[in-house]
Amino acid sequence: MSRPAKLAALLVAVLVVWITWWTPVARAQDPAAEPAELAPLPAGTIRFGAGSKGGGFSQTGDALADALAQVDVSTRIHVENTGGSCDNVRKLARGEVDAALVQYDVAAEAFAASAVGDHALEDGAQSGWMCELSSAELAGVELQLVAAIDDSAVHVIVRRPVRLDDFSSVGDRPIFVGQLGSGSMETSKVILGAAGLTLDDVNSLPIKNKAAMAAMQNGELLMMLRTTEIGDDAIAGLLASGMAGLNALPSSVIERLIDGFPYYRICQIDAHSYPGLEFGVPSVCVSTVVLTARRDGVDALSDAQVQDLIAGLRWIEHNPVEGLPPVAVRWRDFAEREPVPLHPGAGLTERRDFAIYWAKVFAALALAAGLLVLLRRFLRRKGLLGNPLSGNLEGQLSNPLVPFAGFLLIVVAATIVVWNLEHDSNARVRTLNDSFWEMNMFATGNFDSESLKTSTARVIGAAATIAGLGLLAWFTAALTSILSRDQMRLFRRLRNHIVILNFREEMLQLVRVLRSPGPLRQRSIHVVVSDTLPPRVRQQLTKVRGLTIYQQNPEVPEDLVDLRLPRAARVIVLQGGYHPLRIARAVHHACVRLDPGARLEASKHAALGVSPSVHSPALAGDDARGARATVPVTLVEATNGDAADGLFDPFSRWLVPVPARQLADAWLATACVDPTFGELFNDIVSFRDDNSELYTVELSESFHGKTWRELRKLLFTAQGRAGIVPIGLYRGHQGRLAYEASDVQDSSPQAAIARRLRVNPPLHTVLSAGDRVLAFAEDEADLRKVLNRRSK
Amino acid sequence: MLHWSPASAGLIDELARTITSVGVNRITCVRDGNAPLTTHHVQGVEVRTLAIDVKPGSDAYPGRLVSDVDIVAARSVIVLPRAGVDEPDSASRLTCAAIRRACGDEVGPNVLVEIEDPEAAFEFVGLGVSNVFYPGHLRAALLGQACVDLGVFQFIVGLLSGRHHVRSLAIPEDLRAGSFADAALTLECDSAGRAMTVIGVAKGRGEGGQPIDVVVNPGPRTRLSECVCLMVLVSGDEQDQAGEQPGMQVGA
Repeated sequence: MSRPAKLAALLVAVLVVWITWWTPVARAQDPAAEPAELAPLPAGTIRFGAGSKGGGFSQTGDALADALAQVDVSTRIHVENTGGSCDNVRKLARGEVDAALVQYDVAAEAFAASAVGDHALEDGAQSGWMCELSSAELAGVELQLVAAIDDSAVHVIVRRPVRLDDFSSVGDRPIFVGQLGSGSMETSKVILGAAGLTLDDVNSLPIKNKAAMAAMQNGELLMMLRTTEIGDDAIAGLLASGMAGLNALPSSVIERLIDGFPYYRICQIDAHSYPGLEFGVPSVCVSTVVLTARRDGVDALSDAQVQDLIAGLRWIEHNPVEGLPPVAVRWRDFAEREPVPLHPGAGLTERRDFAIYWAKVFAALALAAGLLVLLRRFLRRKGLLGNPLSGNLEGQLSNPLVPFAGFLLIVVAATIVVWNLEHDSNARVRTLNDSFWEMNMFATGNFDSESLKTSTARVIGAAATIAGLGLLAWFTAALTSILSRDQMRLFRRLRNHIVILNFREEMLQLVRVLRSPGPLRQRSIHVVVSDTLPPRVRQQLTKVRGLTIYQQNPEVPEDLVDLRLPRAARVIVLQGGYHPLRIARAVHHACVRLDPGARLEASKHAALGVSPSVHSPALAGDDARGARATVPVTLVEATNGDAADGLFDPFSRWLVPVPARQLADAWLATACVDPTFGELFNDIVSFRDDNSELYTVELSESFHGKTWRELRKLLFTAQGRAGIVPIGLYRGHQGRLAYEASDVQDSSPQAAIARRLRVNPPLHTVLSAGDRVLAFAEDEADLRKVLNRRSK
Repeated sequence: MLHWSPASAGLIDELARTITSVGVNRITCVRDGNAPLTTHHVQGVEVRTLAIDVKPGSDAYPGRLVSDVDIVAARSVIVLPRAGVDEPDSASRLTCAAIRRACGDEVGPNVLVEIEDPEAAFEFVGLGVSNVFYPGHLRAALLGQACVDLGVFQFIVGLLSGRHHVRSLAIPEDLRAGSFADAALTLECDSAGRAMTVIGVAKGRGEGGQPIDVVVNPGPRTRLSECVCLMVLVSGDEQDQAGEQPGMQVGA
């Protein structure tokens, strides 16, 4: 096992031991004292402050009571109807209830009020805290959080077709901001405050929720502020009637609200949450929390009771109750700031959950790492993983995909981190989409200095800018380099390609031949040059379409792996700075030992393929065979002595020595006795528009069974762009292939091809499947066209 | 062969193989510098090796070509790149000019020049050179054809190595009014009864009577009355082609 893997395993083990040791200890902790001022209820029963009868809080309380009966705990609750959040805080302070549901803004304000100490108000003086709570009421009381359970969003409902950009434009027209004493009304007051208004500045009707909905339905209200869960049925009904619509909370209000009252968080009422809502509406959300209290140093609830309550809440979370908003038990990240401390029992549960969560993450990571190691081993064994020797830093630097991928990675990572940091508090990064856009702006240097609020997010933004601009510069440089070289190596084609090794200046003519008009096949050319190649020649090569230059040592097999030689149509080894024999060995090694396909085959047969599989190459055109590891047909420019010395004999199954000097001597000798020969030969081998060249084309089934004489007659009398002159047949393997792989088992490609080529065959020769006609034609397309026409 | 060196020994073998079929039985290899006259035989052909110790550009060189090797009477002359000089093609140009001066008003031999720089080919215009040969072009053509079509590559190798030959053939009188397609379909076999193929026509003759303006695949409707001879492709050994000779000997 590798060192990182060992460390990961050790860490996981420590975490598991810690969790198993710590959890029972946490559960065994007893309360410091018995709950104070217990009402005459069965022992262990918690007095639970909910809300008005039939209201949302009461329903939640009832659901919790049922849930506690379902889970295996001894704790029970007695749900008490109250006046809502404000009343619940007061009852908690007075010890009339042990736990209660409270809107978090009210809870946070109450906590703040209690923190200022016992400052009794003078007679007739008003309290400015929410619910008009006074520090005297809360003296000696420390509110404690059991859990946050659900969210409510501020809904700005306006009469259609009114749209409000500023609450001050409401004027004296009637509005509804909440039921007196409710948390919703307290929230509305804060929102109006963020807009620079007090309750006295607006014409808020003192009516109940139900009456307000009816008034809005009748068109008697201009605006309503309701703080309730997203998807509320009553609001949905109102919006469905078309009398009202949802208005976005003005961004200035949101920002001031979060700055002054960080107990809220920015959220969005998503599109399609309500009938006819086609777009997201920015707003603020506030959570409903279960609170308890510590009065005069005595906890109202023991740790065990709190944990039982949490167990009940979790049961509701996993078993949603019809008509009740979905419950999600949380202790953190439900508000911009969370000043109310956790009850020790809740704290224990939170830490245990935290540990379990990260233990799971580490275990998953360790498992993933282990699987990756196994996968890597498996792929290496199968030979499917790239050769580490084939990669190099220079190659990565010159590939523009690398900085592009890096840029994407930076933007995505910064998007996620910044969204996590600020989506609750920054109206400009409410959604991941917003965050992605902002991070794009940062990474491209087009950012707005006010777009991020927290220091951490700003550091990330700065890092994204520096990294993004650097990566963009890298991307531009790499792309410029490619374009200036005129070599789109990004899109190089490595199948049925032509590889020229040991290229020298004299062979520019070869490249011209390969790029001449005529053949239908325009294969990609990959040329390996040495560093001694003159720059002007290199420049000429860069202008050739579909040609890629590599400056490598062709005698080093590892350098050839990138060229995917087994998939090449032809490999040409030229005389030059490196010795053709050593290059031939390198080609063999690259195909038989280093190619991924070869390694796969070697692993299957538990032995290295010393005797390689050889190509059954296409005579002409592309060969669509699979990626089996084979050695391609390789033509080597040989000297006269090479053939005589048997230099290439070990490679005779796949290598064709071309004795260029000997053939040049033959040319001179023939031209000596026949002055016409030179002109004729040039005509045959040059691809020009004004002459005919030789091609082979497979004969269709309709020609099978006919004689060579009949075919001659058909073609000699055919008129294409010019004429067709058939001179022979090539008896191919499966039509397209030059020979069968087994043909060269005890022979050579050249011998196999020579055996199958019949120039001037006997006139009675019968054509059969796989036969190709060898003929002079203006171009290959012309020959094919004539054959197709004649076959009908 | 002028400017011959032992590095071109392979050319002697190829020449010996080829020229016997046309009745030529002597090859003279001319080296630069000083060397004694030697004679030996290759495949039944007499090979003389001698040296000329004056430079191609000197006034004495044409005279030496006449006196030492009787250049005017030669059937063909191959001018090889001069070894050990910076500009071998320039030296070859001087040699060709010397041959021209040596021949005077005579038609002179069939001159072939091998060059090292393809761009130097135009420098031989007007010097009576019938073929300027650049080996790089041949290599490129061979390897290029192998990449395009292995069958065609094999045919070209066969053409160079003597397995296939292109000959000129007089147009039979009964076909003179006909077309290229008529000739191609009528002339199916050579005199030995083996299959042959008419591949083109020649539309003119050179000073020595050899076919020029050869067109391969002229089109089926080409009138033979406009042509001086046919070009046919035959396969097999030269010696077996009884009654027919390659090149201009077989022409009309």
